[in-house]
Amino acid sequence: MDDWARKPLQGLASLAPSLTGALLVLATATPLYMGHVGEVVPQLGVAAVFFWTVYRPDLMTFGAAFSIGLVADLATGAPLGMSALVLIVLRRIVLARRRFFVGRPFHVLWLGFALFAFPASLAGWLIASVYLFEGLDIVRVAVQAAFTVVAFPPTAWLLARCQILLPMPRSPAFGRS
Amino acid sequence: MLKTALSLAGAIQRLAFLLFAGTAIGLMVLSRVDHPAISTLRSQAVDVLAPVIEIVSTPMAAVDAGIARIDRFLDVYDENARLREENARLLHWQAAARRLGAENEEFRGLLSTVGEPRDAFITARIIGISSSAFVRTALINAGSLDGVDVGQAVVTSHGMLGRIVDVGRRSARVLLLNDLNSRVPVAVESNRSPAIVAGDNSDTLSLPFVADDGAGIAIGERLVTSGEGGMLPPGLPVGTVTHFKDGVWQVTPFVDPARAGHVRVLDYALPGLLPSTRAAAATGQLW
Repeated sequence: MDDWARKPLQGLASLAPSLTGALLVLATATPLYMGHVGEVVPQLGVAAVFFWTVYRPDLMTFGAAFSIGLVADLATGAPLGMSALVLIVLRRIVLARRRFFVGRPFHVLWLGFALFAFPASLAGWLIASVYLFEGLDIVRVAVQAAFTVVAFPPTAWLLARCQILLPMPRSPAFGRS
Repeated sequence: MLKTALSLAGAIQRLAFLLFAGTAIGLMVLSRVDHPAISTLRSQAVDVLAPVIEIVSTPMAAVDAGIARIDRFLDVYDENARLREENARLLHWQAAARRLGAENEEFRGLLSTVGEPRDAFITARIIGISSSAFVRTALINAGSLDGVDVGQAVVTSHGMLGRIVDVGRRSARVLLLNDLNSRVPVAVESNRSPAIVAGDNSDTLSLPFVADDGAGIAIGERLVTSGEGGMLPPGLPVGTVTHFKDGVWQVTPFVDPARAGHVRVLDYALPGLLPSTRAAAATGQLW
């Protein structure tokens, strides 16, 4: 492919993690009503940041995680910066441990995600409680985290399809934690 | 050489983390103090994000509709029996309401009572609902161009859903009654005992402030908006008092936001107190 055509495509590819993360966040703006369980809203932004930090940390930058969080806050009407803060902290922690997940079977990745999803929800709960000066219902937060974990396999499948389309990284520092 | 590059990359990463974390905290502080720039950003974001949400949430909405259909199918016999019973009860109430309405009209005419201001409304569709553990809001597809303004009440055929908090040009955000920041003056329908109904991000509401230590409140009582403050029309159904928990009355709202499709935004204004947004917009006096 000519250089003039490759550059815009590479630029677009580098935005894939932010765009897919933002679209997943917006897709969950309609809650699933599960009868007696109530309304369920998985936090797919957390799933996107985890997935891309493990497989393409060069593209899931702090800026990308921040922008996904900002879109989530603007879409939901949550305190601006709350989700952004949770996602950049998640990105930093996952980045330090991503080597453990690369090349492992999917169930290990899923279990690993569960170990990050619950603390991420807990962090969100803590930040929101401090922000609002009120202790929020932690059970609801735990239920939300559980549904996020349940929603991870189809989300990861979708993101993996996107990942296949992306060009390989060229940076020598790719993969370091 | 490689070691130096890696250590430099690590330093840049740490700096980027601190920069973005600081920005996020800064935004939260500005959001907390209701900085005008944040309000403007939110209003503009509502307009930009609403069409995207409408498109990308289609698969989720389809799954939701499918689940609802199965749910309804499973409950069809119980639902049918309940509706028959309700229909019989409502026919009785219809007759009573007609009789009381005519009687009321007659008395008003005799007493020359000052009438309530007529409230205009805008019908809109809910295009997104945020019901996370932290916030309860909804997005509707009507904005300032349609006459929607901050503070207006949003209702369904069952009762009050919430209030407008952010307005874009073609869409607006509704703060649902069960959001933690929602406070609405209400009255017990049967005895007009005043109270404040508040949300706590759960599916129920509570009455943290009641008059006379809640003497006029009992389980099963219906709550309606009191109209105090002049921002909301009086008499909008809010919910039913269900139980008493930890020293606070709990209320089940009449409207289930997840099941509300179309809503009405009420353009209510008391004469001489608040200008009607629609009238003000027409005369160019919209503040």
